[in-house]
Amino acid sequence: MGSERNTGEWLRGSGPESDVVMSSRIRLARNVQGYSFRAKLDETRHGELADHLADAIRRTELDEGLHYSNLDDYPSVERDLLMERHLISREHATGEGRRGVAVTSTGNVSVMTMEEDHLRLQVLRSGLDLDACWEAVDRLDDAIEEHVDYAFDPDLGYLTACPTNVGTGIRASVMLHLPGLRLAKHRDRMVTSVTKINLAVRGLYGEGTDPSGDLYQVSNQVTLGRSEREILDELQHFVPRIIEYERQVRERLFEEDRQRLEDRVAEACGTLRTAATVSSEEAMALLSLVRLGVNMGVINDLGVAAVNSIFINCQPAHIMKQAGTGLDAEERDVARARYIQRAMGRN
Amino acid sequence: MMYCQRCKKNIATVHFTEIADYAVKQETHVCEACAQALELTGPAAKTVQPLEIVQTILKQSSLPDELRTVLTARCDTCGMTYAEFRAGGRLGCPDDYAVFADGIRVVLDQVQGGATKHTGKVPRRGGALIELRRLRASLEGELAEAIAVENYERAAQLRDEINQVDTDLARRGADVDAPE
Ligand SMILES: [Zn+2]
Ligand SMILES: [Zn+2]
Repeated sequence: MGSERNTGEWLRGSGPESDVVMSSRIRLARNVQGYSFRAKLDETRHGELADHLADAIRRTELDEGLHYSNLDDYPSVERDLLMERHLISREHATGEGRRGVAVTSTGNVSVMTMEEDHLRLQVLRSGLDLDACWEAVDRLDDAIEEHVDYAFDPDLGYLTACPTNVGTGIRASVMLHLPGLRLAKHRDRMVTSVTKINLAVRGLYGEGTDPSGDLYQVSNQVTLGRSEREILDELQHFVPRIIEYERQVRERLFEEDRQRLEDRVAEACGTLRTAATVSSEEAMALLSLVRLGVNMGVINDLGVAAVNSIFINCQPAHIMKQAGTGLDAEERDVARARYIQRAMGRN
Repeated sequence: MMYCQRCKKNIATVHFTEIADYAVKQETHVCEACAQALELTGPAAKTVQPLEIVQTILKQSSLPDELRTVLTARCDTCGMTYAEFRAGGRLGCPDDYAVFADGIRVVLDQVQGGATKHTGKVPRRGGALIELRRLRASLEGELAEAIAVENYERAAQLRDEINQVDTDLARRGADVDAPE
Protein backbone atom coordinates (compact mmCIF):
# COMPACT_ATOMS: atom_id res chain seq x y z
CA MET A 1 0.00 0.00 0.00
CA GLY A 2 1.03 3.60 -0.30
CA SER A 3 2.57 3.20 -3.72
CA GLU A 4 -0.54 4.48 -5.46
CA ARG A 5 -0.42 8.08 -6.55
CA ASN A 6 -4.05 8.62 -5.70
CA THR A 7 -3.97 10.51 -2.42
CA GLY A 8 -7.60 9.98 -1.54
CA GLU A 9 -10.97 10.97 -2.79
CA TRP A 10 -11.29 13.62 -0.12
CA LEU A 11 -8.61 15.73 -1.83
CA ARG A 12 -10.42 16.06 -5.12
CA GLY A 13 -11.43 19.59 -4.17
CA SER A 14 -14.97 19.28 -5.45
CA GLY A 15 -16.88 19.27 -2.17
CA PRO A 16 -19.09 22.12 -0.95
CA GLU A 17 -17.28 25.41 -0.20
CA SER A 18 -14.02 23.95 -1.44
CA ASP A 19 -12.57 27.38 -2.21
CA VAL A 20 -12.10 27.77 1.56
CA VAL A 21 -12.71 24.33 3.05
CA MET A 22 -10.12 21.65 2.32
CA SER A 23 -11.86 18.78 4.06
CA SER A 24 -14.27 17.63 6.75
CA ARG A 25 -13.55 14.82 9.13
CA ILE A 26 -15.38 12.91 11.86
CA ARG A 27 -13.72 10.48 14.18
CA LEU A 28 -15.37 8.26 16.78
CA ALA A 29 -13.60 6.81 19.83
CA ARG A 30 -14.74 3.33 20.89
CA ASN A 31 -13.49 0.78 23.42
CA VAL A 32 -14.20 -2.88 23.96
CA GLN A 33 -16.11 -4.13 26.98
CA GLY A 34 -14.14 -6.42 29.27
CA TYR A 35 -10.71 -5.00 28.43
CA SER A 36 -8.73 -2.32 30.22
CA PHE A 37 -7.71 0.81 28.36
CA ARG A 38 -4.22 0.89 26.85
CA ALA A 39 -2.42 2.16 29.96
CA LYS A 40 -3.51 -0.83 32.05
CA LEU A 41 -3.55 -3.56 29.45
CA ASP A 42 -0.78 -6.12 29.92
CA GLU A 43 1.04 -7.45 26.87
CA THR A 44 -0.92 -10.71 26.62
CA ARG A 45 -4.31 -9.04 26.84
CA HIS A 46 -3.12 -6.28 24.51
CA GLY A 47 -2.17 -8.85 21.86
CA GLU A 48 -5.39 -10.75 22.40
CA LEU A 49 -7.49 -7.62 21.90
CA ALA A 50 -5.47 -6.49 18.87
CA ASP A 51 -6.16 -9.91 17.28
CA HIS A 52 -9.83 -9.77 18.20
CA LEU A 53 -10.20 -6.34 16.62
CA ALA A 54 -8.27 -7.35 13.50
CA ASP A 55 -10.62 -10.30 13.15
CA ALA A 56 -13.70 -8.14 13.77
CA ILE A 57 -12.59 -5.65 11.11
CA ARG A 58 -11.90 -8.42 8.60
CA ARG A 59 -15.43 -9.70 9.14
CA THR A 60 -16.96 -6.23 8.92
CA GLU A 61 -18.99 -5.82 5.78
CA LEU A 62 -18.60 -2.47 4.11
CA ASP A 63 -19.44 -1.63 0.51
CA GLU A 64 -16.16 0.19 0.03
CA GLY A 65 -14.17 -2.74 1.45
CA LEU A 66 -11.94 -2.37 4.52
CA HIS A 67 -8.35 -3.60 4.29
CA TYR A 68 -6.66 -4.31 7.60
CA SER A 69 -2.89 -4.31 8.23
CA ASN A 70 -0.70 -4.64 11.30
CA LEU A 71 0.90 -1.23 11.62
CA ASP A 72 3.81 -2.56 13.68
CA ASP A 73 4.90 -4.58 10.62
CA TYR A 74 5.12 -1.42 8.53
CA PRO A 75 8.38 0.45 7.83
CA SER A 76 8.26 3.88 9.43
CA VAL A 77 8.09 5.70 6.10
CA GLU A 78 4.86 3.86 5.29
CA ARG A 79 3.42 4.82 8.67
CA ASP A 80 4.38 8.47 8.10
CA LEU A 81 2.76 8.28 4.70
CA LEU A 82 -0.55 7.26 6.26
CA MET A 83 -0.17 10.09 8.76
CA GLU A 84 0.47 12.66 6.03
CA ARG A 85 -2.67 11.42 4.31
CA HIS A 86 -4.57 12.04 7.55
CA LEU A 87 -5.50 8.36 7.79
CA ILE A 88 -3.73 7.79 11.11
CA SER A 89 -2.66 10.10 13.93
CA ARG A 90 0.91 11.13 14.65
CA GLU A 91 0.75 9.11 17.88
CA HIS A 92 -0.33 6.04 15.97
CA ALA A 93 2.44 6.47 13.40
CA THR A 94 5.22 6.95 15.94
CA GLY A 95 3.84 4.75 18.72
CA GLU A 96 4.90 1.30 19.83
CA GLY A 97 3.34 -2.11 20.33
CA ARG A 98 0.78 -4.15 18.49
CA ARG A 99 -1.61 -1.88 16.63
CA GLY A 100 -3.36 -1.81 13.33
CA VAL A 101 -5.02 0.26 10.68
CA ALA A 102 -7.75 -0.50 8.21
CA VAL A 103 -8.49 1.70 5.23
CA THR A 104 -10.86 1.65 2.29
CA SER A 105 -9.53 1.77 -1.24
CA THR A 106 -11.08 5.23 -1.63
CA GLY A 107 -8.66 6.51 1.00
CA ASN A 108 -11.25 8.40 3.01
CA VAL A 109 -12.27 5.89 5.65
CA SER A 110 -9.89 4.52 8.25
CA VAL A 111 -9.98 2.55 11.47
CA MET A 112 -7.11 2.64 13.96
CA THR A 113 -6.85 -0.16 16.49
CA MET A 114 -5.03 0.09 19.82
CA GLU A 115 -4.54 3.83 19.58
CA GLU A 116 -5.33 5.87 22.71
CA ASP A 117 -8.69 4.10 22.54
CA HIS A 118 -9.12 0.53 21.35
CA LEU A 119 -10.83 1.78 18.22
CA ARG A 120 -10.82 5.07 16.39
CA LEU A 121 -13.09 5.25 13.35
CA GLN A 122 -12.67 8.07 10.91
CA VAL A 123 -14.23 9.39 7.74
CA LEU A 124 -12.85 12.23 5.59
CA ARG A 125 -14.67 14.13 2.87
CA SER A 126 -13.73 16.84 0.44
CA GLY A 127 -15.00 20.33 1.28
CA LEU A 128 -17.57 21.12 3.95
CA ASP A 129 -19.58 17.93 4.18
CA LEU A 130 -20.02 16.90 7.81
CA ASP A 131 -23.38 15.29 7.09
CA ALA A 132 -21.83 12.86 4.64
CA CYS A 133 -19.02 12.16 7.13
CA TRP A 134 -21.51 11.44 9.88
CA GLU A 135 -23.68 9.21 7.72
CA ALA A 136 -20.64 7.16 6.69
CA VAL A 137 -18.99 6.92 10.10
CA ASP A 138 -22.31 6.05 11.76
CA ARG A 139 -22.73 3.19 9.30
CA LEU A 140 -19.14 2.05 9.81
CA ASP A 141 -19.69 2.14 13.58
CA ASP A 142 -22.80 -0.08 13.29
CA ALA A 143 -21.03 -2.49 10.97
CA ILE A 144 -18.08 -2.95 13.34
CA GLU A 145 -20.34 -3.17 16.37
CA GLU A 146 -21.88 -6.30 14.86
CA HIS A 147 -18.64 -8.04 15.86
CA VAL A 148 -17.49 -6.09 18.93
CA ASP A 149 -19.09 -5.39 22.32
CA TYR A 150 -18.51 -1.72 23.05
CA ALA A 151 -17.84 -0.33 26.51
CA PHE A 152 -21.00 1.73 26.89
CA ASP A 153 -22.75 3.19 29.90
CA PRO A 154 -26.37 4.34 29.63
CA ASP A 155 -25.54 7.56 31.54
CA LEU A 156 -22.04 8.37 30.32
CA GLY A 157 -22.30 6.93 26.82
CA TYR A 158 -19.24 5.47 25.12
CA LEU A 159 -16.50 5.10 27.72
CA THR A 160 -13.13 6.38 26.58
CA ALA A 161 -9.59 6.39 27.97
CA CYS A 162 -9.69 10.16 28.37
CA PRO A 163 -12.76 11.92 29.80
CA THR A 164 -12.40 14.58 27.08
CA ASN A 165 -13.93 12.06 24.65
CA VAL A 166 -16.55 10.35 26.81
CA GLY A 167 -20.19 10.34 25.74
CA THR A 168 -20.46 10.47 21.97
CA GLY A 169 -16.71 9.93 21.48
CA ILE A 170 -17.06 12.26 18.52
CA ARG A 171 -14.52 14.71 17.20
CA ALA A 172 -15.75 16.54 14.14
CA SER A 173 -13.38 18.88 12.42
CA VAL A 174 -13.18 21.06 9.37
CA MET A 175 -9.89 21.99 7.75
CA LEU A 176 -9.94 25.54 6.43
CA HIS A 177 -7.60 27.31 4.04
CA LEU A 178 -7.43 30.95 5.16
CA PRO A 179 -4.74 32.78 3.19
CA GLY A 180 -6.84 35.92 2.83
CA LEU A 181 -6.99 36.45 6.56
CA ARG A 182 -3.20 36.30 6.77
CA LEU A 183 -2.59 38.57 3.77
CA ALA A 184 -5.05 41.12 5.13
CA LYS A 185 -3.68 40.66 8.64
CA HIS A 186 -7.22 40.16 9.85
CA ARG A 187 -6.66 36.78 11.32
CA ASP A 188 -7.15 37.89 14.89
CA ARG A 189 -10.58 39.21 14.06
CA MET A 190 -11.59 35.97 12.48
CA VAL A 191 -13.23 34.76 15.60
CA THR A 192 -14.86 37.91 16.88
CA SER A 193 -18.04 37.56 14.87
CA VAL A 194 -18.82 34.21 16.30
CA THR A 195 -21.84 33.70 18.50
CA LYS A 196 -22.06 31.52 21.56
CA ILE A 197 -19.77 28.68 20.71
CA ASN A 198 -17.65 25.96 22.18
CA LEU A 199 -15.21 25.10 19.48
CA ALA A 200 -11.46 25.18 19.09
CA VAL A 201 -9.50 26.64 16.19
CA ARG A 202 -6.00 25.43 15.63
CA GLY A 203 -3.32 26.05 13.01
CA LEU A 204 -1.96 22.96 11.30
CA TYR A 205 1.63 21.69 11.10
CA GLY A 206 3.59 24.88 11.10
CA GLU A 207 6.88 26.36 12.13
CA GLY A 208 6.87 30.03 12.91
CA THR A 209 3.80 31.96 13.85
CA ASP A 210 1.82 31.38 10.67
CA PRO A 211 0.23 27.97 10.37
CA SER A 212 1.94 26.46 7.39
CA GLY A 213 -0.11 26.55 4.24
CA ASP A 214 -2.55 28.84 6.11
CA LEU A 215 -4.42 25.72 7.14
CA TYR A 216 -6.62 25.82 10.21
CA GLN A 217 -8.68 23.17 11.89
CA VAL A 218 -11.97 23.90 13.68
CA SER A 219 -13.41 21.19 15.88
CA ASN A 220 -15.83 20.51 18.71
CA GLN A 221 -14.54 20.35 22.27
CA VAL A 222 -17.50 18.97 24.19
CA THR A 223 -18.48 15.33 23.58
CA LEU A 224 -20.96 14.73 26.41
CA GLY A 225 -24.47 16.03 27.05
CA ARG A 226 -25.11 16.84 23.40
CA SER A 227 -26.15 14.55 20.62
CA GLU A 228 -23.92 14.02 17.60
CA ARG A 229 -26.46 16.02 15.61
CA GLU A 230 -26.26 19.00 17.98
CA ILE A 231 -22.48 18.93 17.95
CA LEU A 232 -22.41 18.93 14.15
CA ASP A 233 -25.03 21.68 13.98
CA GLU A 234 -22.84 23.93 16.09
CA LEU A 235 -19.93 23.47 13.70
CA GLN A 236 -22.16 23.88 10.68
CA HIS A 237 -23.42 27.11 12.13
CA PHE A 238 -19.97 28.46 12.90
CA VAL A 239 -17.86 27.41 9.92
CA PRO A 240 -19.89 29.29 7.25
CA ARG A 241 -19.19 32.51 9.16
CA ILE A 242 -15.45 31.99 8.82
CA ILE A 243 -15.91 31.05 5.17
CA GLU A 244 -17.91 34.20 4.54
CA TYR A 245 -15.32 36.32 6.31
CA GLU A 246 -12.44 34.80 4.37
CA ARG A 247 -14.27 35.37 1.08
CA GLN A 248 -14.99 39.00 1.92
CA VAL A 249 -11.35 39.58 2.76
CA ARG A 250 -10.25 37.91 -0.49
CA GLU A 251 -12.63 40.06 -2.48
CA ARG A 252 -11.44 43.22 -0.79
CA LEU A 253 -7.83 42.27 -1.50
CA PHE A 254 -8.77 41.71 -5.10
CA GLU A 255 -10.54 45.04 -5.44
CA GLU A 256 -8.10 47.19 -3.53
CA ASP A 257 -4.79 45.69 -4.51
CA ARG A 258 -5.37 43.35 -7.40
CA GLN A 259 -1.97 43.94 -8.99
CA ARG A 260 -0.09 43.10 -5.81
CA LEU A 261 -2.15 39.96 -5.24
CA GLU A 262 -1.56 38.79 -8.82
CA ASP A 263 2.14 39.52 -8.48
CA ARG A 264 2.45 37.49 -5.30
CA VAL A 265 0.57 34.55 -6.80
CA ALA A 266 2.64 34.67 -9.99
CA GLU A 267 5.81 34.88 -7.95
CA ALA A 268 4.80 31.81 -5.92
CA CYS A 269 4.05 29.87 -9.11
CA GLY A 270 7.33 30.96 -10.64
CA THR A 271 9.34 29.93 -7.61
CA LEU A 272 7.68 26.51 -7.45
CA ARG A 273 8.20 25.93 -11.19
CA THR A 274 11.86 26.91 -11.23
CA ALA A 275 13.45 26.45 -7.79
CA ALA A 276 16.12 23.77 -7.59
CA THR A 277 15.36 23.09 -3.95
CA VAL A 278 12.22 23.63 -1.86
CA SER A 279 11.73 22.83 1.82
CA SER A 280 8.47 21.43 3.07
CA GLU A 281 7.66 24.71 4.82
CA GLU A 282 8.43 26.84 1.78
CA ALA A 283 6.33 24.56 -0.36
CA MET A 284 3.35 24.86 1.97
CA ALA A 285 3.56 28.67 2.07
CA LEU A 286 3.89 28.98 -1.71
CA LEU A 287 1.21 26.40 -2.44
CA SER A 288 -1.13 28.33 -0.20
CA LEU A 289 -0.78 31.33 -2.52
CA VAL A 290 -1.17 29.10 -5.57
CA ARG A 291 -4.37 27.62 -4.14
CA LEU A 292 -5.65 31.14 -3.47
CA GLY A 293 -4.75 32.10 -7.05
CA VAL A 294 -6.63 29.12 -8.46
CA ASN A 295 -9.71 29.89 -6.40
CA MET A 296 -9.66 33.59 -7.32
CA GLY A 297 -9.32 32.81 -11.03
CA VAL A 298 -5.84 34.36 -11.19
CA ILE A 299 -4.36 31.02 -12.24
CA ASN A 300 -6.15 29.10 -14.94
CA ASP A 301 -3.80 26.27 -15.86
CA LEU A 302 -4.12 24.38 -12.56
CA GLY A 303 -7.08 22.87 -10.69
CA VAL A 304 -7.86 22.83 -6.99
CA ALA A 305 -7.61 19.04 -6.93
CA ALA A 306 -4.08 19.19 -8.33
CA VAL A 307 -2.99 21.78 -5.76
CA ASN A 308 -4.59 19.81 -2.91
CA SER A 309 -2.78 16.70 -3.99
CA ILE A 310 0.56 18.55 -4.21
CA PHE A 311 -0.02 19.77 -0.64
CA ILE A 312 -0.05 16.14 0.52
CA ASN A 313 2.48 14.70 -1.93
CA CYS A 314 5.21 17.21 -1.08
CA GLN A 315 5.40 16.21 2.56
CA PRO A 316 8.53 14.35 3.72
CA ALA A 317 7.31 10.75 3.75
CA HIS A 318 5.61 11.12 0.37
CA ILE A 319 8.80 12.52 -1.16
CA MET A 320 10.83 9.68 0.35
CA LYS A 321 8.33 7.16 -0.93
CA GLN A 322 8.79 8.51 -4.45
CA ALA A 323 12.49 9.33 -4.44
CA GLY A 324 13.99 6.92 -1.93
CA THR A 325 14.11 6.56 1.83
CA GLY A 326 17.87 7.09 1.97
CA LEU A 327 17.60 10.80 1.18
CA ASP A 328 18.78 13.36 3.72
CA ALA A 329 16.88 16.60 4.25
CA GLU A 330 18.75 18.54 1.53
CA GLU A 331 18.31 15.80 -1.03
CA ARG A 332 14.65 15.64 -0.12
CA ASP A 333 14.29 19.36 -0.84
CA VAL A 334 15.75 18.78 -4.30
CA ALA A 335 13.45 15.82 -4.91
CA ARG A 336 10.50 17.89 -3.70
CA ALA A 337 11.36 20.73 -6.12
CA ARG A 338 11.48 18.24 -8.98
CA TYR A 339 8.22 16.63 -7.98
CA ILE A 340 6.42 19.99 -7.76
CA GLN A 341 7.74 21.08 -11.16
CA ARG A 342 6.43 17.89 -12.70
CA ALA A 343 3.08 18.15 -10.95
CA MET A 344 2.56 21.82 -11.78
CA GLY A 345 3.80 21.56 -15.32
CA ARG A 346 1.60 18.66 -16.16
CA ASN A 347 -1.63 20.60 -15.95
CA MET B 1 8.95 34.08 15.34
CA MET B 2 7.73 33.46 18.82
CA TYR B 3 9.16 31.42 21.65
CA CYS B 4 7.32 28.61 23.37
CA GLN B 5 5.30 29.90 26.31
CA ARG B 6 6.03 26.78 28.31
CA CYS B 7 9.74 25.94 27.93
CA LYS B 8 10.70 29.43 26.62
CA LYS B 9 13.46 27.68 24.68
CA ASN B 10 12.09 26.37 21.41
CA ILE B 11 10.25 28.23 18.69
CA ALA B 12 6.50 28.01 19.14
CA THR B 13 5.07 25.94 16.31
CA VAL B 14 1.68 25.04 17.72
CA HIS B 15 -0.83 27.84 18.03
CA PHE B 16 -4.03 27.14 19.81
CA THR B 17 -6.97 29.51 20.00
CA GLU B 18 -9.97 28.89 22.12
CA ILE B 19 -13.12 30.75 21.25
CA ALA B 20 -16.12 31.47 23.38
CA ASP B 21 -18.91 34.00 23.35
CA TYR B 22 -17.83 36.39 20.61
CA ALA B 23 -14.19 36.49 21.60
CA VAL B 24 -10.88 34.75 21.82
CA LYS B 25 -10.79 33.27 25.27
CA GLN B 26 -7.22 32.11 25.27
CA GLU B 27 -4.31 31.85 22.88
CA THR B 28 -1.50 29.41 23.46
CA HIS B 29 1.79 29.29 21.58
CA VAL B 30 4.08 26.36 22.34
CA CYS B 31 6.63 24.09 20.69
CA GLU B 32 5.72 20.62 19.38
CA ALA B 33 7.26 18.85 22.39
CA CYS B 34 5.40 21.01 24.89
CA ALA B 35 2.20 20.69 22.87
CA GLN B 36 2.45 16.94 23.28
CA ALA B 37 3.26 17.27 26.95
CA LEU B 38 0.23 19.51 27.37
CA GLU B 39 -1.79 17.10 25.22
CA LEU B 40 -2.33 20.04 22.96
CA THR B 41 -2.75 17.75 20.02
CA GLY B 42 -6.49 17.82 19.91
CA PRO B 43 -9.09 20.49 20.31
CA ALA B 44 -10.03 19.58 23.84
CA ALA B 45 -6.44 19.72 24.86
CA LYS B 46 -5.80 22.71 27.04
CA THR B 47 -8.64 21.99 29.39
CA VAL B 48 -7.27 18.91 31.14
CA GLN B 49 -4.48 19.73 33.49
CA PRO B 50 -4.91 16.89 35.97
CA LEU B 51 -1.86 17.74 38.06
CA GLU B 52 -2.86 21.33 38.50
CA ILE B 53 -6.37 20.32 39.43
CA VAL B 54 -5.11 17.96 42.10
CA GLN B 55 -2.71 20.56 43.40
CA THR B 56 -5.49 23.07 43.63
CA ILE B 57 -7.78 20.59 45.32
CA LEU B 58 -5.11 19.54 47.79
CA LYS B 59 -4.39 23.14 48.69
CA GLN B 60 -7.93 23.74 49.78
CA SER B 61 -7.99 23.28 53.54
CA SER B 62 -11.65 22.36 53.70
CA LEU B 63 -11.45 19.48 51.26
CA PRO B 64 -14.87 17.95 50.63
CA ASP B 65 -15.08 14.46 52.12
CA GLU B 66 -16.05 12.80 48.86
CA LEU B 67 -12.96 14.20 47.18
CA ARG B 68 -10.72 13.14 50.05
CA THR B 69 -11.92 9.56 49.62
CA VAL B 70 -11.58 9.62 45.86
CA LEU B 71 -7.98 10.79 46.08
CA THR B 72 -7.08 7.49 47.76
CA ALA B 73 -9.40 5.33 45.62
CA ARG B 74 -8.09 2.42 43.58
CA CYS B 75 -9.82 0.35 40.88
CA ASP B 76 -9.88 -3.40 41.61
CA THR B 77 -10.31 -4.27 37.96
CA CYS B 78 -7.23 -2.56 36.54
CA GLY B 79 -5.27 -1.28 39.54
CA MET B 80 -5.46 2.37 38.51
CA THR B 81 -5.37 4.83 41.38
CA TYR B 82 -7.06 8.19 41.26
CA ALA B 83 -3.76 9.97 41.84
CA GLU B 84 -2.29 8.11 38.87
CA PHE B 85 -5.21 9.18 36.68
CA ARG B 86 -4.76 12.77 37.79
CA ALA B 87 -1.10 12.66 36.91
CA GLY B 88 -1.56 11.05 33.51
CA GLY B 89 -5.00 12.27 32.46
CA ARG B 90 -6.03 8.85 31.14
CA LEU B 91 -8.11 6.17 32.81
CA GLY B 92 -7.18 2.52 33.24
CA CYS B 93 -10.44 0.77 32.38
CA PRO B 94 -14.15 1.45 31.80
CA ASP B 95 -14.89 0.65 35.47
CA ASP B 96 -12.85 3.68 36.57
CA TYR B 97 -15.73 5.97 35.62
CA ALA B 98 -17.75 4.38 38.44
CA VAL B 99 -14.86 3.85 40.89
CA PHE B 100 -13.75 7.49 40.64
CA ALA B 101 -17.26 8.85 40.03
CA ASP B 102 -16.91 11.86 42.36
CA GLY B 103 -13.56 12.84 40.92
CA ILE B 104 -14.74 12.25 37.36
CA ARG B 105 -17.57 14.67 37.99
CA VAL B 106 -15.03 17.38 38.83
CA VAL B 107 -13.16 16.61 35.61
CA LEU B 108 -16.33 16.57 33.49
CA ASP B 109 -17.26 19.92 34.97
CA GLN B 110 -14.18 21.37 33.36
CA VAL B 111 -13.79 19.45 30.12
CA GLN B 112 -17.44 18.82 29.26
CA GLY B 113 -18.99 22.04 30.46
CA GLY B 114 -20.53 20.24 33.42
CA ALA B 115 -22.52 17.75 31.32
CA THR B 116 -23.05 14.39 33.01
CA LYS B 117 -25.67 12.68 30.84
CA HIS B 118 -25.12 11.14 27.45
CA THR B 119 -27.85 12.07 24.98
CA GLY B 120 -26.32 10.77 21.77
CA LYS B 121 -26.10 7.51 19.91
CA VAL B 122 -26.64 4.14 21.61
CA PRO B 123 -24.92 1.04 20.17
CA ARG B 124 -27.33 -0.48 17.68
CA ARG B 125 -26.78 -4.10 18.70
CA GLY B 126 -25.43 -3.60 22.23
CA GLY B 127 -28.10 -1.04 23.08
CA ALA B 128 -30.81 -3.62 22.48
CA LEU B 129 -28.90 -6.08 24.68
CA ILE B 130 -28.66 -3.54 27.49
CA GLU B 131 -32.44 -3.11 27.34
CA LEU B 132 -33.07 -6.87 27.30
CA ARG B 133 -30.74 -7.49 30.26
CA ARG B 134 -32.39 -4.68 32.17
CA LEU B 135 -35.80 -6.19 31.43
CA ARG B 136 -34.58 -9.64 32.50
CA ALA B 137 -33.25 -8.26 35.81
CA SER B 138 -36.57 -6.58 36.58
CA LEU B 139 -38.51 -9.76 35.71
CA GLU B 140 -36.20 -11.74 38.02
CA GLY B 141 -37.04 -9.28 40.79
CA GLU B 142 -40.77 -9.68 40.18
CA LEU B 143 -40.37 -13.45 40.10
CA ALA B 144 -38.67 -13.47 43.51
CA GLU B 145 -41.52 -11.35 44.89
CA ALA B 146 -44.18 -13.60 43.40
CA ILE B 147 -42.54 -16.66 44.93
CA ALA B 148 -42.19 -14.89 48.29
CA VAL B 149 -45.97 -14.28 48.41
CA GLU B 150 -46.63 -17.79 47.01
CA ASN B 151 -48.32 -16.46 43.88
CA TYR B 152 -47.30 -19.46 41.77
CA GLU B 153 -49.57 -18.64 38.86
CA ARG B 154 -47.84 -15.26 38.45
CA ALA B 155 -44.45 -16.91 38.98
CA ALA B 156 -45.09 -19.35 36.14
CA GLN B 157 -46.11 -16.48 33.91
CA LEU B 158 -42.93 -14.56 34.81
CA ARG B 159 -40.78 -17.65 34.12
CA ASP B 160 -42.28 -17.82 30.64
CA GLU B 161 -41.47 -14.17 30.08
CA ILE B 162 -37.91 -14.67 31.29
CA ASN B 163 -37.50 -17.63 28.95
CA GLN B 164 -38.74 -15.46 26.13
CA VAL B 165 -36.13 -12.79 26.95
CA ASP B 166 -33.42 -15.48 27.17
CA THR B 167 -34.38 -16.80 23.74
CA ASP B 168 -34.15 -13.24 22.44
CA LEU B 169 -30.77 -12.75 24.07
CA ALA B 170 -29.46 -16.06 22.72
CA ARG B 171 -30.72 -15.18 19.25
CA ARG B 172 -28.68 -11.99 19.44
CA GLY B 173 -25.65 -14.07 20.31
CA ALA B 174 -25.41 -12.77 23.87
CA ASP B 175 -24.25 -14.61 26.94
CA VAL B 176 -27.48 -14.86 28.95
CA ASP B 177 -25.79 -14.71 32.33
CA ALA B 178 -23.53 -11.79 31.50
CA PRO B 179 -23.81 -8.87 33.89
CA GLU B 180 -25.65 -5.78 32.76
ZN1 LIG C 1 8.36 24.22 24.62
ZN1 LIG D 1 -10.01 0.30 36.34
